[in-house]
Amino acid sequence: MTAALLAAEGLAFRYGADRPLLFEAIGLTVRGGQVLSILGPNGVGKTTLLQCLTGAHRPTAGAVHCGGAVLGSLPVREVARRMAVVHQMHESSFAYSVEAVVLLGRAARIGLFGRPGAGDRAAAAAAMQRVGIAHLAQRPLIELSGGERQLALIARALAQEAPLLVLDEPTSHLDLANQGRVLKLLRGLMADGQGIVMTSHFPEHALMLGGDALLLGRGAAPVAGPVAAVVTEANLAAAYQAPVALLRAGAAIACAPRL
Amino acid sequence: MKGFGTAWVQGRATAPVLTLAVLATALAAGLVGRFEVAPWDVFRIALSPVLPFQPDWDPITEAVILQVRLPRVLAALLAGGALALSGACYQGIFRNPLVSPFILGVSSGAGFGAALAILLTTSAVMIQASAFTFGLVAVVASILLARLYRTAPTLILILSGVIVGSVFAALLALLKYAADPDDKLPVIEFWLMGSLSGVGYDDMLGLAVCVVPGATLLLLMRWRLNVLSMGAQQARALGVDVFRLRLVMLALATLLAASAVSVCGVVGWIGLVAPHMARLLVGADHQRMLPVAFALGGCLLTVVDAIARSLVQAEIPLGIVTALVGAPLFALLLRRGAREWA
Repeated sequence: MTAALLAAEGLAFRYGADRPLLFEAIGLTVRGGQVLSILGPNGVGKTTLLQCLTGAHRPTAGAVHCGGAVLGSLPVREVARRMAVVHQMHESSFAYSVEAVVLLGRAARIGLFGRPGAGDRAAAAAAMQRVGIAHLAQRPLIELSGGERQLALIARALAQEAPLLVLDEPTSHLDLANQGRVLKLLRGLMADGQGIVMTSHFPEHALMLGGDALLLGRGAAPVAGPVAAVVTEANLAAAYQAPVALLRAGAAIACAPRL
Repeated sequence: MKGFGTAWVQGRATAPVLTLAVLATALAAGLVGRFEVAPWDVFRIALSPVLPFQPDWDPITEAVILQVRLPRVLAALLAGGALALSGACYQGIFRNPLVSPFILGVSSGAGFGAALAILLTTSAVMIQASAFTFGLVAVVASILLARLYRTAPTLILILSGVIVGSVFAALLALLKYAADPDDKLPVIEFWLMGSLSGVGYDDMLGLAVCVVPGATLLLLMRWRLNVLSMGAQQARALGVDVFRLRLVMLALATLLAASAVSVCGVVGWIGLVAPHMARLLVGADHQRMLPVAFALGGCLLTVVDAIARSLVQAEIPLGIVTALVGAPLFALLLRRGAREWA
């Protein structure tokens, strides 16, 4: 069996020696075509865990392996070829076109003095085509709606041609239609063999994508496993320390707080 | 994003259009001056060292063009280009279109260095060398100071620049306070206001030694500036060693600004206005924008210098003209560009 795209063991993190551990003993594995959803309440460390997994933070304990190699031992350029990250916030003071932003996904394959060539432009065009924003290529990114902007940043990540895609809350701040668009796109990418790790505030989105889930709880031990076993009313209530309803209507699923 | 420029400034025509604009500006600036020379003569004399024109002009005309105006125009092109390119890079690195190349204290350091040399010597070379050195010292101090804190790098860098800049401004004030008000003080004041008067080939060559390699390297790396301008977190995830690249680009941009300031004094606005004009012409992408900013900056300073030496009997300091021309221009650009940096 080939090495996992991403594997972590005994992962723990704290922001300073005098601060409490944000999480500990986290283990996870992601392979091609699989998805792992990281769930949990605000402030429980989802984004921090993601930053440990992408190398932006060094874990206090434990190790992260990326495509068989220890993450910390890889140069950033090599990491960028193995995993592409879609960050939560994008702010730019410059009015770059969507195409120019998507082309930045090629940075790990272009030398210091290099500029994108025909091959890079073809990869960017294919990525924009894949997420369905080819018609927006020449528009300034900052003029797009939140949903289109998220798709453009996913296109930039796809242009990296990395086998693993890491997304930090990809469906937050999106309307229902755009949530559906992004989830459908992610499901399609999984079918193409892409490995996906994402954090989310929507347990139902994890259920819709299937795969594995890791539920971080406030003061409770993390729950990991197949998403259907992790995302239950009882587990959610324990993690969020609040009553939660899990509703199903045919293929549609929704989670709601019980008031 | 397509800028406001007409189609022929964009696409493949950019390079020839820029070259023509620079040549036309240089020729026009060569015409300007107390001593009148016909345009065709300016053209022939300026190119006579490299092209076989029959020298049917008188030697005084030749001296005016070759020894006075040509080095000055070339120095203005280089210094203006250096300031504009430096400003564009600083803006990209700091992800802020309102940043000037002087934000890390290069101008305060250079002002102090020049004043120090003016007090201690009368050598023009020493004044330039001291301005250049202290300009670099100020920026290195800002970067080292920022390194002490380790967090939120660009914001802390800007604050460090403010701290170091104000220290050098205070030291400069101290030197001015100590300077002889009849002799040295006016020289310091005039230096600070900026001027290219009396610039010869040696100054121009000194400038070229820094500007040509520095600008070449920055222009070669210009696509990478797009990546850096995404911010540290995203640039890193895209596969760029942010810390190293930022340091290299900052060093080169600072070298350009320091060399320009050491030759022509503290000339503001060019480093702020030229990148904006470039952005409006060809859009925000640094691939297109950086060469345009470089050429525009050169043209701007050449025009400003021509105005400075011809408007009235005595020369007007460059800093005054750039501010009087630059401020309204910037206000105009702000109006047209406001939408872009919302």
